[in-house]
This record gives sequence, structure tokens and C-alpha cells, in this order.
Amino acid sequence: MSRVARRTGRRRVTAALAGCAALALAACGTGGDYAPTALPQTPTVTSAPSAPATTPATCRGDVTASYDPFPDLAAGRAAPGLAEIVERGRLVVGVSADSRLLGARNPATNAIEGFDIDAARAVSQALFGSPDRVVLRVITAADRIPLLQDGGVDLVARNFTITCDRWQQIAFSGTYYLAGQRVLVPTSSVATQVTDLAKGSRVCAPTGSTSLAALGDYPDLVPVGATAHTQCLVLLQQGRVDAITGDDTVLAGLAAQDPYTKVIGDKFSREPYGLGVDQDNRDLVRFVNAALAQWRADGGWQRSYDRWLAPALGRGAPPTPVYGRTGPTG
Amino acid sequence: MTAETPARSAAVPARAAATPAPRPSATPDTAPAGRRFLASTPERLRLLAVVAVLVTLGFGLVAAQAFRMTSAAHDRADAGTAQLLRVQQIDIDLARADATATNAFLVAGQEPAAQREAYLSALRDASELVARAATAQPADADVLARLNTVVVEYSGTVEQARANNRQNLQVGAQYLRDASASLRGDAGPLLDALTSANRSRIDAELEAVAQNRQVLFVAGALAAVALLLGSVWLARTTRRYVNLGLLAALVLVLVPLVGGGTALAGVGQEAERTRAGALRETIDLAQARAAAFDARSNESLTLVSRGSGAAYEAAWQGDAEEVLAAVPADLDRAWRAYADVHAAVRGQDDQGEWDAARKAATDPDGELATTFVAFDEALTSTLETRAGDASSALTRSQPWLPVAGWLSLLAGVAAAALAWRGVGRRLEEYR
Repeated sequence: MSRVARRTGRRRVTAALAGCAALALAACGTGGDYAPTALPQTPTVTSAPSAPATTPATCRGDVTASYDPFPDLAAGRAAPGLAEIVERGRLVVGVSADSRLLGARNPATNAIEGFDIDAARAVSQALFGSPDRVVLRVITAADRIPLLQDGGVDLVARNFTITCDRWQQIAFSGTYYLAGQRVLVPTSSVATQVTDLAKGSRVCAPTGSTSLAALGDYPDLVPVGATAHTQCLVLLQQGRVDAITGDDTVLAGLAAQDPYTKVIGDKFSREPYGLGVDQDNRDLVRFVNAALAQWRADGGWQRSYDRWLAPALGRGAPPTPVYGRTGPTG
Repeated sequence: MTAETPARSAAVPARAAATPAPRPSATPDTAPAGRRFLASTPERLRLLAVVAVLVTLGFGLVAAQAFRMTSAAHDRADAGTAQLLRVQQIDIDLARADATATNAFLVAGQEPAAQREAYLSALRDASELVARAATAQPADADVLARLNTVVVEYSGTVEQARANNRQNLQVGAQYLRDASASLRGDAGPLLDALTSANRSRIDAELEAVAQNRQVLFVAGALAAVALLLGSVWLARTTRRYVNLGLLAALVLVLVPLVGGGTALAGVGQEAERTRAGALRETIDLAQARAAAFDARSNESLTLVSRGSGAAYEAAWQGDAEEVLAAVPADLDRAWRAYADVHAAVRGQDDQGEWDAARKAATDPDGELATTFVAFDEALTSTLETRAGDASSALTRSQPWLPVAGWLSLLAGVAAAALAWRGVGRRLEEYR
């Protein structure tokens, strides 16, 4: 082979090699395809564990029966059970600050006001001669009993239903308001009773409340649990539930916040409200009963009711309290 | 053949290295029938030539690919870092929006205009970043689309909270609590998923950089060893100590191997250092900043919820622990200054002075606001420095990587050609 031919041949081979190499390189990828990021799994909502079934306590007679009131307030003020409060000069009352109409803050005056607050102020009036000697301590529903037991508050005025079980832990005054479970629906609804609600209607109440449990009597309705009654109102406003059930006082508070809702139907449960007191302080219970009797007698109860609850719930009269209790079981 | 040898010697008189050696005559030139394959020297020489070409060409290809892939992986790691920083910033912006909204709720209709504007700008920043992040990294698009819906629903719920609050309706507080809860419960897991996905992408790219380096070394070593062994055999067989072609090929293999390999090692080490150092610190600081804003939200929500706020105070404590664990020591003092004022405000509320606590929490010139802002500004400046370090470290390097790739390919091709020529010259002596 001639040298020139060899060189040309080599050049051709070299060029061919280079071309193949470049092609091979171009054919190889450089990676970089990413799998799409996976959406996180939504955790399955575990239903809240129901409270273990306890044998209900039995009470003799009327569960709302309270201890006899003092015959007059002056004698009550001197009773030993009230000595600490009188000395302190202030009555500490556990209340709610976001239950409209019962106990809620008025931003204009910064005061907490409502029907329950009026009841507490009536006790202060009877004890100190002035309704302003109360210290309102905002508490949760769960704190009501523990704070009474450890002395954190003297009274609880926080839509506290009188039950036999609670009588085993604390004491109650006589009934100062007889509430009952009713239903809140949009104004566009034609229902006038809970039984009028369409089959499959979603009805909201706080999880674990007696109101939600009471829906068991109406199997056509779908119970929906929420963290609080205000969340039920949020769900109703968003169209995610069709009705709300609860104490008529609470429902009145919700209706006051939304003009497109109304409270309907007869009460289908009895929820007697009492002021909570420490179980061992019967003197205070008797004094509170006397104070509430005066509140009813001088028209204070009616004025409070007309101001707060009458607009949503209609006319009302004070309940007649029952007395004669001798101990926690009756 | 005899006639050609003098011609060749005459044609290349300047060749210094090749000393004329006695003609090899150990093995016969042609293979008689029935003998083993590769018994003859020319056949072995041809094999050597082929092997030399294959290993050098192969090395050239592998080296070029290694440089290309390193460059691409580096770019992707850089893009991944930018995406990661974007995701962290979305987290911070959403937390900042929530902190502002919950604090403004405490003053209802008396909310200062500056605070309203701060909330809106935080939300704007967050939603802008969500869109940019989805464009920058399409693999994140599904999660970011879901995050977008969460942000939209959040802002709607906050507006309902404000509207109800302005009319002193207690249901407004419920809307506010629901909005905050949706941010933590819905946006939180999405942001976590994005953070961990991008972190593992960066890790994978840096891992690929390390692997490419190893592949380069292996291929280069193979080629060098093959050429060396071939040279040795050739020297022994042809009794010429050096074959220029093979030597040149060996050099052309060793240069990219040693030079490029060392450079790649340097690149890999720097990237690893950035990942373990500046990048990790940036993520920690960003999460601390988001936790600080979350604490501020919980602080306001405790006051909004009044007696029912115990859970929010517990969440504040959790956030405080997270912040202290993540920030460097020089920011500890700034946080504790804020935490002390927070404890004082909590004490006021717990003793029933809710209104005084609320005033302290909403006063823009009050101690609570000023200590928090001081902490946040210090944290932000540290965070921005580290974030800058992290992103510049990866971008700064390596424009030479693609060039090195092409050069290695050329070197491989040239080495192949030279090796072929070098062995070919010896082969010609058998013709």
C-alpha cells in the first residue's frame, strides 16, 4: 500500500471513529427525569373514643331539687360557708366569653355580658349590694367541675345542666332556666319540628355532647360532629350541614349571629340550668338559692330574659325551683 | 518487505526514539494450516491494535459521558437547591400571613392599614412563589396545585373571619381557628412532601456525581493498564523499547484520567460540603423562621380563644422548642427576650386581665412586637446569607465541565488513532 493511500485510509478510519463516537455520546442521555412528587396521604380520621360506659348514678326524687334557701339574705351572709368570699370582697365566677346571649364579650364596652352573667351578678348584688363585685373568669366546659372542686372559682354560670351524675361531684342551685334541645335551620326551611326534617338531613352538634347523642332517637337524620357549636354554624353557612341541634339558648346565640337562620320546634329534652357550686359548701348553695329567689321576685329574671333570649325564643317565664335535697343522691 | 524497510527509514529520518533493531525472526511470519489461532506475531499485533483502539475509544466515550453527566447533575442539583429554597420561602410566607391575620383579629375593625397590607403582601408572595415553583420543577406540579387550592381556601376563610369579626359576631373566631388549622393540617404536609422530595433529588444528583467519578477512574485505569501491558509485550516482541503510538495513546489517556478525575473529585467534594453545610443550615433556619411565625399565630389564637386557648399555648411551647433547637447560639438571646415578654403577657391573661394582655399583644410598638421583630430580622439576615452561600456554591463551579467532556472524547479518538498507527508501524514490518 502506498504511503499516501495509507495516510488517507487512516484519516478516513479516524474520521469514521470520531463520527461513531460522537453519535454514541449524543445517544446517551444525561438523566434527570424525576418522578412526580407524591401527594401526602390524608390520615384517616379516627372517630373520637367514646367515653367508657359508666353505671349511671341513681338519685332519689327530682334531680333538680336543691338545698333549701336561707330564709333571709342577712342570715345567709353570716353563714360560715360564705366567710371566705365575704372577706375577699369578690365573687369569682366561671363563665364563657364566646356564647352569645349567655356570656360573650361586648367589644364596645369590653365587658362580658349575657343571661348567665346576669344570674351571677344577681348573686353578687345579694351578697355585696352591688352587681359589680364579680370577677368573671373565662373557662372551658371541661373546666367547670375541676375548678369548682379545687376552689378555682366560687360559682359556675355557664349553661350548666343539672344531672344526677354531676350531683355526685358538685352541687347545684335550683333551676334558674329550663332549656331544652331544639333545632336551628335556615330561614328557607319549611320544617317546624325536628320530625319535619327531610330524611338524610345532616344535623350538627358538638362531638360527645348529649345533644348529638339525642339524635339517636331520630334514625332518619345523619349526625355530624363538630368541635363546638360555632363550628356547626360555620358548617351551616358553608352548606355542609342542613341543621344544628343543641340547647335552645345556644341556638338563640347562633341565630343572633346569622339573620338567615331560625330556631324551630318544641323542646325535645329537658335541660335544667343551675349555678354550679362546690359540693361541700351547702351554705353557698342555700345563699345562691335565696339570691335567685330575690332575682325572680323583683323582676330581674324577666328583664334579663326579655333582653337576651326572648327575641329568638319567644316569651318565657321563670321556672319554679324545687327544694328539699338532703345530700348528693337526693 | 525488504524493499520497503529502507524506504521507510529514509522517509522518517528525524525519528529519534525508535532505534533500529534486528529483525525479529523468532516466530514464522505466516501461519501454516492447522496451527493455533494467534500463534503468529502479526495476528497478535492486530489484536493488540484492535484492543488498544477499543480501550482508548471506550475511555474517551466514558470520560466524555462522565463529564457531561456530572455537568448535568450539577445543574440539576443547583435547580433543586433553588426549588428547595422556594418551598421554604412559601412556608415562611404562609406562616407570616397567618401570624399577621391572627394578630389583627384581636383588634377587629381597628386593624392598622399597615398590618392589613403586611398580610396581603405575605399572601401574594406565597401564591406567586407557588406558581414559579410549579414552572421550575414540573415534577412538583401536582403537590403545588393542591397547595394552591389550600392557599385560596385559607384566604377565603380569613376574609370571612374578618367580616364576622367586624360585626362582633363570635362565629368569626371560629372561622379564624378553622383557617389556621387548615394551614397547619393541609398545607403543612404538602410543604413537607415538597421539601423531602427536593432534598432527595439533590442527594441523588450528588450521588450520581460521585458515581460518574468512579466510572471515569475505572475506565481510565482499564485503558491505561491495557496500553501499558500492550507496550510491554510489544517492546519484548519487537525488541524496540518504546512505541511512540502507544506511548502517545497512554499519555492521552492519563491526562484526562488524572487531571479530569482530580477535578471531578474536587467538584464532588465541594458539592457535598455545600449540601452538608450551607444547604442543611439554610433549611434549618428557614424552618425555624416558619416555626417562629407559627408561635406568633398560636399566641394570638390563645388570646382570641380566651378561656379555651390552652391547646394553642401548648403549641406555642412546641414551636419555641423547635426554634431554639434550630437557631445558632447568637440568636438564642433574641428569642429568649421575646419569650420572656410572651410569658408576661400570658401571665396577665391567666390572671384574668385579658384586655391588658390583648393590648400588649396588639401594640405595634409594644415589647412583644418589638422583641419578635428584632429576633426575626436577625434570623432573616443569617438565613439569607446561608441561602446565598448554598446557591452560589453550586452555580459558581464548572463551566469547564462540558468542554472537558468534548476534549476527552477528542483525546480518546486521537489516542485510538495513535495507538492504531503505532501498532500498525510494527505490523508493517511483517509485510
